Amino acid sequence: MDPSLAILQLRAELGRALMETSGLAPLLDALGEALRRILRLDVIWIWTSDAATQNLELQATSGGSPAEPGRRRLLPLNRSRLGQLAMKNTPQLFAEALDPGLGAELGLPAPGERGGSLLAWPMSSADEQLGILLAYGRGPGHDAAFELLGGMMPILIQALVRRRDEEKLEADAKALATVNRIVNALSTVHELTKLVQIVTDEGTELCGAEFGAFFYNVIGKRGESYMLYTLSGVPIEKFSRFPMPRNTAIFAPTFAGQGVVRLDDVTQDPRYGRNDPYFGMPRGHLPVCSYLAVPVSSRSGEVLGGLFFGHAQPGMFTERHEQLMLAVAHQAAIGIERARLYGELETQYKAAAEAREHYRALIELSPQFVWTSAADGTLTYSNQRWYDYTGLSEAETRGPELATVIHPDDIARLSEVWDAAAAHGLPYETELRFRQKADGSYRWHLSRAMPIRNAEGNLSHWVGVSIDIHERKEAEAALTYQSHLTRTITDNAASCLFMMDKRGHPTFMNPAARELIGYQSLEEIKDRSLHEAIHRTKPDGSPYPLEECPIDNAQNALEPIRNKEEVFCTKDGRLFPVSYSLTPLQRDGELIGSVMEFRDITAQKQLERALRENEERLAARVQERTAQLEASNKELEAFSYSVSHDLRAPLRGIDGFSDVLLRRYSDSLDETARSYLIRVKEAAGRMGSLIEDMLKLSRLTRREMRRERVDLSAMAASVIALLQEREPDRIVAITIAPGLETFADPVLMRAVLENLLGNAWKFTGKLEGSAEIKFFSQPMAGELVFVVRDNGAGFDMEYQDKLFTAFQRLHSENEFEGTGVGLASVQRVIRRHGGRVWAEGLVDGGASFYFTTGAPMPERSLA
Amino acid sequence: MHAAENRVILLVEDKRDDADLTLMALAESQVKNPVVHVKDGAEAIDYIMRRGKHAQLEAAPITLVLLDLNLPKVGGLDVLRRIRENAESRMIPVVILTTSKEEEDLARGYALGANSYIQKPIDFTRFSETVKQLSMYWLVLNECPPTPRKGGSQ
Repeated sequence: MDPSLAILQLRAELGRALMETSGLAPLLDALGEALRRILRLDVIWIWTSDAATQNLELQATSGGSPAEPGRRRLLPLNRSRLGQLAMKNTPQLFAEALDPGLGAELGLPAPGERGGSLLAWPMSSADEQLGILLAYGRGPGHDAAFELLGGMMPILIQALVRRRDEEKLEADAKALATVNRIVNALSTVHELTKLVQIVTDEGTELCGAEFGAFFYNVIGKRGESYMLYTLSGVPIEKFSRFPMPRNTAIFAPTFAGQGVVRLDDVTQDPRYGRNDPYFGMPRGHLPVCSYLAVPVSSRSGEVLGGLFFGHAQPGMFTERHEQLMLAVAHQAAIGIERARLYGELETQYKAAAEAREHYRALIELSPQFVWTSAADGTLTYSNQRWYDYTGLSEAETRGPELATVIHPDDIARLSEVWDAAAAHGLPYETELRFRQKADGSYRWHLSRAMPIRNAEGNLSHWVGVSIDIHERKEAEAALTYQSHLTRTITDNAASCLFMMDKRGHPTFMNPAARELIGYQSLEEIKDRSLHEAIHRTKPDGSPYPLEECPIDNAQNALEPIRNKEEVFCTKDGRLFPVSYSLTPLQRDGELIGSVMEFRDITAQKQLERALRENEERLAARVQERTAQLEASNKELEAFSYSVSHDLRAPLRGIDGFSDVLLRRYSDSLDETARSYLIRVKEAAGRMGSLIEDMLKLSRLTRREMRRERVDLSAMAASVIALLQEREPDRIVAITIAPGLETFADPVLMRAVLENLLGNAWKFTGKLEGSAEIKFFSQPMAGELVFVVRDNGAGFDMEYQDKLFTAFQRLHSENEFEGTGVGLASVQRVIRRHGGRVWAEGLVDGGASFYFTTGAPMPERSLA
Repeated sequence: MHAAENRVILLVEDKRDDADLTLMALAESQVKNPVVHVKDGAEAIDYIMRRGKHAQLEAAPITLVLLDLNLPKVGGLDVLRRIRENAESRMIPVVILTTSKEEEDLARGYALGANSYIQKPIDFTRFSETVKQLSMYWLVLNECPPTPRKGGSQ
């Protein structure tokens, strides 16, 4: 192999690679490939060293097993075999015995299987360690190639340095552009979330992180602080199920604003994995290895949040990244503060605008008039209510038309009030009437205005409101009238009126009360209870304790009293009887006092006493009379009894011995004597009947009366049947109305019917024509009257008053037999029932007997 | 034992006329029994109880008492009560023969154990007819209660 040709060849390849590639790794890949091909070697590795991280990184592998894609191969400079070789800065050839440590680091075959040689060539430039190149050839015979490689190395190093510088420049330019973008964003974007997203995105890119996050504190509307975050390089959903970072040992320096934390491998840090509950990153967390955390603090030192960057590979963040991120954090702090300020301003501005709108709406909607005027009184604003109510336009309100909506009687007072207020710049208040357009009526308003002064204390303008107080004025007027009315009534009332408060102290006294009690005014008694004033003494003169007072107790129990009697006393201690009523007054269920009305009933009492005495006298007389009557009744009964015994016994003797004479001594007597004896016997018989009837009459009078429903129709039929039985030959046309009923004593009613029907039967006995007896009823003046009518002998109405007198007869005994007791009995019975009996008759023209029973008329008989 | 017709009818009647008429009526009605007439309640009780002036009397037993109510000294109803209270006399038939027809007298008479209550008719024909029916019933038709042995225990 011609070395010059090989070098030319390499230069050509280099030139093309520099043209065609960008970035360090692709260039080194191309160079490694060219070297391997030109020098006919088997594997070329090129590692570069990083001063910041003190790592060697494999940049290119040509011929060997390629590195896993996306997986960096790093070796610490000072702790690896390869690192040691690189630091030695002396090329070394491993021919027969390959360094076993090195073999493991490079992934070369184990010693037993090898059969090649390895050349390690450290790369450096002006004391700067750049990396190391390794070349491997299988089998023997690579000395020439290794030698040639040595010659090529300066070209290689030159290319490496050049490309690295280019890269650095490019990165700087990029970083500058990024920072510039951030600064631009910060000055144009005021929305915090957008701003922090930009910072996170750009920061992540700038430091070459796989993912970045910005956790930042925000102050809520109610002043509370809470944390938000943005993510970059990973969708936000990946993080949404993790809790916010806590103040763990790893995070603490950042959130406390103590400084930057930069770690090549966070999992190796002693502070890592010390905290509950995860002891490290929770499951499913991004695979963070390289770790860079920068606090974001305001100028005042307040920690606003933290920028966090991560990379799955170790050692990704350098000093430079740290510096860049500090700058970004600084800019972010400014931006956040500005965004906050802007947000606050915006909020304040919005709030002010809302408040303005709010008050404007309130004023416009207000049912009151609201207005402002200049210092001289010229109207500057009126709310809509004013225009709606008055119907005036804005111009009219400023002009002479204003006076047309104010009541003429109020204009003078208003000017007076305004002039006085304007002269001294003082608030004023007045009542006046404004005319409403709707119906032309005036309504009372309370108008108030207040001067507003500027900062210098000069009157700048007036604000005023007018409230509709029409209802109140009306109510006041009604109340005034009402109280006048009440006063008129109470002043002129004949009754005495008092009002008490809930303690029982008098609060009102009308003239009638004043006059009767003798106090000149309420002042005299208002400091003690009314009880004390007018009720302190019992009728017997002893003190009347308040606890026993029924009036006071009723008031406390909220129980009204109607027309009860008490004895009150006047101012000078005179007692007098009263009738009083008490009405407790309550408001919302609570006692507030009571009204008491009373009147002097001395005269009434006297009258009552006189009446009562009269009644008593009367009752005594009635009792006396009753006793007398009872006594005479008793005598009468005794008399009747003795009559029944003592009068009948001699009669029996008269009849008995006459009989004996007639039977046993008939032969000794002539016809005349016998006829006389017969007449003696007849007379005795008549007297017996008389006594019998008299006793019956007496018994009817004494009998205890018991009313029950009596079927008079059936009773009359039964009486007629007996009469017919006694005289079966007589033919009498009987008409008994059906359903005649009354409520009376059945035994006594039977006696009545026996007498009346018996009379009718008797007095129709001598008729030449056909006899008729009718029994019926007829309503008469609201009473049911029963009638027994016959067409018999009748009677002369001239003697009707004797009809019902005992033993009075209107017919001779020769004509009709009878004792004259029957109708007297009827009258007694009917009178005992509280009814009436009377008769109508005509001589030979029949008779009608009417009677009532004192029972209420059955309803159906009314129909 | 006394023959039925030897038994005594006791007539208690204060009024002479009534007594005579009753005796006449009894005579007309063919009554064979002896009639003892006492004029007041006290004597009636004495006779029935065998005391006072009747104490030593060895009399035939009483078959019927005809009792007026309106009596001097002791009233007819009191006599009736005494008859019913006394073990020896309480089964003797007593017929009240009186003028009164007062309900009260009727009720009290029966309450005290009268066997009949008859009002004396004024008409003598009816009166003697009544007495005839009465004696026929009580002395002939009716079986008298057994005579208690004098002073004997039951």
